[in-house]
Amino acid sequence: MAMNILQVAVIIFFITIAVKDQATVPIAQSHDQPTLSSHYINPLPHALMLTAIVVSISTTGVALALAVRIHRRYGTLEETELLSKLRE
Amino acid sequence: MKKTAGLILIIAAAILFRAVDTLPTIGDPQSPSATHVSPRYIENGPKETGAANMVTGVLADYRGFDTLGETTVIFTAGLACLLLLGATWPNRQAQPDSMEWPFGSAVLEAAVRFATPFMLLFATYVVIHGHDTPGGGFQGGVLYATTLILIKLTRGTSIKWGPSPQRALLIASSGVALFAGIGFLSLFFGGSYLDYGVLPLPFPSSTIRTIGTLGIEIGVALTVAGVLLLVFEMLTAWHEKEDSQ
Repeated sequence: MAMNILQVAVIIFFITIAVKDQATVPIAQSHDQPTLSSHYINPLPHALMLTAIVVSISTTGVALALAVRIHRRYGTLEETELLSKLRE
Repeated sequence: MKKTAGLILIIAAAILFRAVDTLPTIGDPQSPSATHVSPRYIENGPKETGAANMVTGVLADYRGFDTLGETTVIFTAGLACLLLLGATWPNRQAQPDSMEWPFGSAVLEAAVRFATPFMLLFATYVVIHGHDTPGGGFQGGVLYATTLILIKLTRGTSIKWGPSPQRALLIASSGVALFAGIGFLSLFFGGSYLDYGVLPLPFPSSTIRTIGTLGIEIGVALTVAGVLLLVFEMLTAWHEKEDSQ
């Protein structure tokens, strides 16, 4: 879960790179007028970060499944107890 | 072991804090990220893809193959959870005839019954309208899964309601197959993979691209919803087996 928080922080930081002064969200306001690049913020980091969010969901899901399995097998999730049980 | 990890962390954090000074100012319109690649996509994006939402245009049209990779990643994560926890499919008891509330609350039941149709409608809106307003396949899929998980949580996870794990896996697989199938359809008509412009529909080119985008967004939403439901079922079922032993 700490890994999940770290990933969210990195995602938000990456999106701040996309911002421009006096520019709005990257959705075209009207169909006829041309879209100037000074009026809209950069859409490419947003698309990249959607991929990152999906990957973080996947890794968190698999990590939780692993944690459940470990607890089922060894009865504990504490790192020191697990290490001593593994050495037996 | 933990002390050396902490020390390395502090040193790395210090280096990063020092490096933040050298980044371009936030919001600068002349920063490198705003002047090299993105003006081409901002200026030509809505016209070429037919989507007012430039992020969906990039994700589903310019970088559609990348989105296929993401869908495969989330499907693989669902399969991995299934392999780890799926020794037996969870079997749940059928709904009892009298409406007992497992958490003893009529308020939860009433609130969930009231909110569910609006949540499902909103999720469908987010998927279908994703090319013109914020949204798209991933967001809509998560909303679908959240609605069903909410109902399962208030009814109690031991009651059988909603898609079973087998059905959830089927939904997820059909989503990936729909996405890949639309790509192959473009191959049959002589274009590159996932090049929607070559589909022989009687619409102008940007509308055909919008229709192709809609198809793959539906596929993505199905996959995300199916995988999230599957992972939820697997995690809660395991908890039950522990309790009963």
